[in-house]
Amino acid sequence: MVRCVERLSPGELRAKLRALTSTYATLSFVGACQGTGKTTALQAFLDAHAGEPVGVTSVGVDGAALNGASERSRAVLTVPRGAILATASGCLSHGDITREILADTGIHTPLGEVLIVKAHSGGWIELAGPSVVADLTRVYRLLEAHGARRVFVDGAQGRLSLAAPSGGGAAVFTVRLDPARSVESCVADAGRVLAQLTLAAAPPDISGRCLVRDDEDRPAKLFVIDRDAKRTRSFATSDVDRDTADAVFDSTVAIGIRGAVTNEFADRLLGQKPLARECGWSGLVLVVEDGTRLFLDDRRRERLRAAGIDVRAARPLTVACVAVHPGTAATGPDAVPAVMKTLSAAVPLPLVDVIGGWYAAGI
Amino acid sequence: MLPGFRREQEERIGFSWVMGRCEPLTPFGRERKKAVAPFPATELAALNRELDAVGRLLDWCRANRSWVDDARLVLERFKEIRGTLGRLGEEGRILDEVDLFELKNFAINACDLRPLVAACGLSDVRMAIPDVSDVVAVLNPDPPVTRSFFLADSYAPELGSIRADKQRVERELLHEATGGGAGARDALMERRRELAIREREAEEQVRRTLTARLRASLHTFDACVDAVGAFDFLLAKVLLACELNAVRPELRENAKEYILKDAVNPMVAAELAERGRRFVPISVELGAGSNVITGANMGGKSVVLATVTLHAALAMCGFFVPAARLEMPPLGYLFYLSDDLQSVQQGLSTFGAEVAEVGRLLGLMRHGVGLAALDEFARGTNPEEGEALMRALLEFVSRYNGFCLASTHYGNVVGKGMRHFQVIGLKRADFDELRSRLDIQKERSFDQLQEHMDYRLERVEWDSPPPRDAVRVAELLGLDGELLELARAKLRG
Repeated sequence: MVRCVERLSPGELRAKLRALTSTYATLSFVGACQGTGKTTALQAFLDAHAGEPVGVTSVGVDGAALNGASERSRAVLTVPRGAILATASGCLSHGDITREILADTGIHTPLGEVLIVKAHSGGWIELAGPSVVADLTRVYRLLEAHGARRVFVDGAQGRLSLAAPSGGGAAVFTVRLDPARSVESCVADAGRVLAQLTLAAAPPDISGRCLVRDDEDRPAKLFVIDRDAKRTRSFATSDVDRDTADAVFDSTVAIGIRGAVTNEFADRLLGQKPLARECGWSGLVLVVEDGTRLFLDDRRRERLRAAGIDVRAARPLTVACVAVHPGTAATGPDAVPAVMKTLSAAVPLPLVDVIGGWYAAGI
Repeated sequence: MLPGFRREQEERIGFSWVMGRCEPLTPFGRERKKAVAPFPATELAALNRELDAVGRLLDWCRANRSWVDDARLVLERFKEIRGTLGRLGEEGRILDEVDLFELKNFAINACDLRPLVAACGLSDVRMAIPDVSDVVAVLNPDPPVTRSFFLADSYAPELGSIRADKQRVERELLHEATGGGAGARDALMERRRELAIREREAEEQVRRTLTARLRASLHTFDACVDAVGAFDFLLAKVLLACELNAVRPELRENAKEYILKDAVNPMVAAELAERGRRFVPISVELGAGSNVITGANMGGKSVVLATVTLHAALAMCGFFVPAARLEMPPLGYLFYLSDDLQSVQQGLSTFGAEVAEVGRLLGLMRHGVGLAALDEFARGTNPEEGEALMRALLEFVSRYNGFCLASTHYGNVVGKGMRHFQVIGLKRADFDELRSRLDIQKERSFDQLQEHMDYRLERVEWDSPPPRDAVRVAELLGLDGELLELARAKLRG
């Protein structure tokens, strides 16, 4: 299906960005690799929400620092007056905002402890927040507790797990076309990652059993979920072995896993022949916590599909839109809309170029 | 670490286990715990003061449960600030906002803790939290007091005017963004940049002034850190005493005996509890010189030695002990010889390692009263010479005033005048009944045997023969009958 790609004025673009994300309390900006324009997109959305009490943080810059990334890849943002920020103490002196340190977090990074800071003036600031998902959840809560009504998170390269913010959040997926590859190849990659992020939801009764509850002391890692709840079995490790296979019966509806689903996991799962189920794995649902927990290559995905296993998410993610950075791959006046059109054929989500103002509505 | 003890020995007697449950909440308290060591025997008064303080605070905590929660809540907020204090002490150094934020929070926490410590009536001056409310006032110029830190406009009139200008420019920039020209915007941006630089300079001047004012309070901060650490560690000792149902050890200069009544080794008790079993409390009265334990295999002799050593170590370190009563003189040394393999791994044989350790013990004994626990010394050499060495050692240590408690299977080592204890073990058990029970539940023979074992100690005559239960115990554990018969024949003939 071909979609209309239109160019918006700066005012229209701001209104569109606001409309696309106004229902979400947290917005995580994630990309499949480095240099996809996460910070650029975040800045545009942040500007679009000017006047709101916002919170801003970034996933720690340690990854970028370690792999020798350029200064440009660091999260330097212009924040509005009144913004509540979460950043490492070592970043505080890099910026020109008038600031008040509101609280510490007990979360330590190579750049110092993450602090909650209020911007008493607008200006630029370097941000480096926590680099662990659990810490990020704490930071969300602290930002909210200090008055932020909408929290923006600048994700780190390849850290898709951060696309799964706490309840009420969404991700903005950023794509930058690589000049060394064809547009079609870049679009196919983006489509694959998005399909993973937006994995379909598992039935609610199964999802409920797969998500870790607060009262669980030692959460199980793997479940063989039976239609009859009494026959559901849980295992302390996610290593699939003979015991796991033996626990699968005709009435088994799903296998739930808490943690990463890797190629090795898929190989072990498919290598075990279920004893008590006549149709093997066919018709079973493999439930992961969310789409970011899948680390499967194409071959393993295909093997799971061929075995009749349907992969679903216990906590489906919402991707609000895709922010497209045409990069140097697109040159000339018609290049950007052409790229957007190619992308729109593969991705049903709203597409937006926050620099040029190009926009394609979602399907 | 206990002096002369290896980590494995501390673990073996249960000292590490107990220390693991003593949990100070501040970095300063944790550091004190890490440095815990026995009081020197010559500082009995200081040790008794420490034990008195534990006792008083324990009584207070038992009567004021909500106070404990309040105190813990405040203590949990303290963070490590000694790095910041180090920077504060550097002449010419200007503290940054994070440093000032940390000092402010430390001072607020100290102000919160001060009345709580005062309320419990501890007379110990080490724990009197200095008043740092003036520091809070310096770092919080405008009421109300908050935990945040801001280089407020009220610190310097210039700061306020620069910031007001900066905000005005920002408002104009916002206006320009929605309709102004690029040239006007660039000019505003440049103006804003200049104001931001001036703001930084003015802030630095304020920080310089604040640093100088706080530097005058550096000694107060240091005293505060010490007092918070001392109080935190004391409270951790008290809460540990509550958890272990521990009592104050009685340390007397001229005590001639080491009296332990109904003592528990919490580590062993926890391990037993996991298996659904109960620790049998240990009571023993040691006299100066040699004391010997003999008894059945699997009768808990090693646990007695570990427990006696643990209680002495805890008492000397100023902790209450998990027993009904402990009386002893202050001990100048603690010595524990067990069959751990550390020295063997270092290249010595078991026997060689033991000899080296006993040499160290003899050196210690010459310098005062202490406690030595020897678990089956000389068991690793030929029985004839081993017995002679054991007997000689017991006689030798009897010349000194220290307490030596030795376990052994040798039959002829207890000399006249030495105290001799025996584990009751299976002495009073009906072996025929036991055998028939174990025949039925062969797979549980080990547990069954332990259930019938009487772990209590009884004092016997010095020349009472040690129990000879090894063959019967081996039989109950299911050793081959033919082999057992051969062993019995050897014993008979």
